[in-house]
Amino acid sequence: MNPLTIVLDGVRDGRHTLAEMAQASNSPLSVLEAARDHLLYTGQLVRSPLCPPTSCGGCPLSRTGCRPGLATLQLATQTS
Amino acid sequence: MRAACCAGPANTSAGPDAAVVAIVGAPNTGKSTLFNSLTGAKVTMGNWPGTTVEVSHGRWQLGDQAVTVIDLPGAYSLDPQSPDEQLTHDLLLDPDPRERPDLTIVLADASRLAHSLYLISQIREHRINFVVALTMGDIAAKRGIEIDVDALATAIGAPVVPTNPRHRTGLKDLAATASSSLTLGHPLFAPSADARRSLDSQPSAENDGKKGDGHTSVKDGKGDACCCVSEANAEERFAWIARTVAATTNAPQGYRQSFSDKVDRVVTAPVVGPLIFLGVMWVVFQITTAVAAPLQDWLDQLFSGPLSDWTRDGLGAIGMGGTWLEGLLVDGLIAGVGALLTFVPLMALMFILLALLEDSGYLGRAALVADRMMRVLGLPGKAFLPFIVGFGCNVPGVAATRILPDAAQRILTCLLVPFTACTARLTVFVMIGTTFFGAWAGTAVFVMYLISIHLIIGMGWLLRKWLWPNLVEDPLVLDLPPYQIPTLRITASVAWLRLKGFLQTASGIIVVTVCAVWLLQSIPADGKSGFGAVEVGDSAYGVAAKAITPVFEPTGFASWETTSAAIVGFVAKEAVISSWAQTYALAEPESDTEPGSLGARILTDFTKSSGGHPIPAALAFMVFLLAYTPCVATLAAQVREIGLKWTLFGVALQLVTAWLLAVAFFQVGRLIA
Repeated sequence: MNPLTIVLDGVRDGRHTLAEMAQASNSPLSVLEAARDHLLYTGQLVRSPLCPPTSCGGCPLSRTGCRPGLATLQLATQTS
Repeated sequence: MRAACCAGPANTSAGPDAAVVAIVGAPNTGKSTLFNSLTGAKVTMGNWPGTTVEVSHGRWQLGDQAVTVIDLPGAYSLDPQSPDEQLTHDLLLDPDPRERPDLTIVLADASRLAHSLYLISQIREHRINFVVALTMGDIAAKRGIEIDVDALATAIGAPVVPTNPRHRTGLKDLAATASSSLTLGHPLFAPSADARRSLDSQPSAENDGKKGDGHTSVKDGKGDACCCVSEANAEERFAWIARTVAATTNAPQGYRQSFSDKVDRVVTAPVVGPLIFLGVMWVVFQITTAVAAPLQDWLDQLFSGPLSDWTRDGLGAIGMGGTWLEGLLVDGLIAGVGALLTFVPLMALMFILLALLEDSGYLGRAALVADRMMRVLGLPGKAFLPFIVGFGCNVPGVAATRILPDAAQRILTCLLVPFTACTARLTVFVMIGTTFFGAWAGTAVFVMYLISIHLIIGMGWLLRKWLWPNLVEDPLVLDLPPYQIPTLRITASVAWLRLKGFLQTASGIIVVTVCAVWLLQSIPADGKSGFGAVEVGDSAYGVAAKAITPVFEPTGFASWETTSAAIVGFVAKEAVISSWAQTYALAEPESDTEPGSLGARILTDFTKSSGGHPIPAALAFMVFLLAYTPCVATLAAQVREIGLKWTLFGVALQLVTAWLLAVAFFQVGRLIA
């Protein structure tokens, strides 16, 4: 199956991670990562960092020191 | 191409008649490093004529031939999304052949080959004379990626030269290949059949002048046909990318697991994942309670012993001994705030351990486990975030519900966040745990967290079935950060940030609460005794607490000392400890200098109020603390997010749930005991 289709279907079907999609479709993860980045680039997927709007230091997901944290990917149609 | 690009000073370009070589590639593929290696210091920067895009150009000596090199801005594809990409697009696909570079060097990152191939897939669809410089080979080698360069050249249809501009290797080969390509004057290979098919089917610059392959229509929504062609082209290109990666790298067949993937397969597995998470948290609580206990005892001795004695002596020396000031300082602030401050080592250790888990990337996986659980129960997937935030502090947990797009999801999640066991409750859990469960204190605290999770799931399921049966969940994918070795700086920074929050609560709202409780304990309810000279049980505080206490008879903790502490706990959960400390310091002043005496007095009270079943009563009290309203700050946050009506509904829900659970735990526990 086409990598773009695998990623879009994976998001629609509720797969949790790209690794899950790669495993289920037996595709190289690097190609699916490239497909994900293409979908983000063209605006078909939206990436949202998961940091709370306010912080009192109680959030175990927020990070200091500019390290990448957890983020979600959603279909662009869901966020509009 | 002869005119615009050669506008720089003579010493930085090869002259108006020299051939022009353009360097293109995605950002961070080593483009500028290659440009600097080829041109040395002879570089000029300036805006491309008619644009605001800055372009560097320089001179590259290819044997006897000098060429002008242009470093074009980074571009992921030929579908322009910015002025930088528009320039690259226009220069490569411009219909005027005089504007085209004579040769294009396209950079491909060997460590992320699939990412680089999209631009190449577009370039190979056009009659562009190009060479691929394969960079980042050292990083690829470290990751165990091997690329068959000849096979890649065949798949692309252009020469591929492994190059490392940083170490200046492969530059001679690149020069030789570039020189040959320039001499030839046209692509070494004609665009392949599949590439031509893409080209023929798209409204490209070669066909319609300026619009590229029309991919921008995905964003601007103009022209469905254009959009469909664009998507079809992208699919074809990715099909080619998948085939090329499979044919040219050492991991051609299917999904190849990295170390991180292998770990993730275990820690995020549907059944094993949650068990591992629970195991990790149990270890965290065990370490916290066992290691911090001696330090806590030492601080307890300090506050209840020397510090109280010194304050009394000091006040006595200035003639204030036995006055209301001594009551406020010793029985109020030192007893109340001091009891809370004994938890500083415990909280510090807990925050350090959690920060280590976070910085390693593990807590992100825990979020995945939580997300899966949410979805199984039909709760919105994204709702796991406010809950995980809520385990730190309910206030930002409530605020975090803003990430949910749907109003019903926000209200539902807001109503559930107060059931997460925040760190303020943790202090009370630890105190009760060490008092009643000894070496099993860590397990007792851990059980409270388990109950908290089940409470969220159960209440969420009930509320959804009852109030929002048609709630729709939004599918989403989690972009997990990679595992990494925790660093001291980030661990210390995160732990300190949270410890500071705990200390600010202790020095702010708890001090005010302690003063308010002291004031109420000093006011005689009957009006006969003087201010500060009343038995605490006969004070306004004691009388009010005694009036409410009968409600808690079935829970096993119906003593006015405990119910009053629970009421003060509405302000902040840490205030439960300070209130107990104040009440017992006044009620039994002769024993307040004994270390650990607060726990002993609570144990005596629970034994009495439960009819000899202190353990079920303690469990019932812990569950009550877990389920009832966390603090006024959370209530304020809820009013802000979901309004007063839903907030009041939430308070009623929490109180009823807390009471019912406490009764159930005590009554069942009593029968079992």
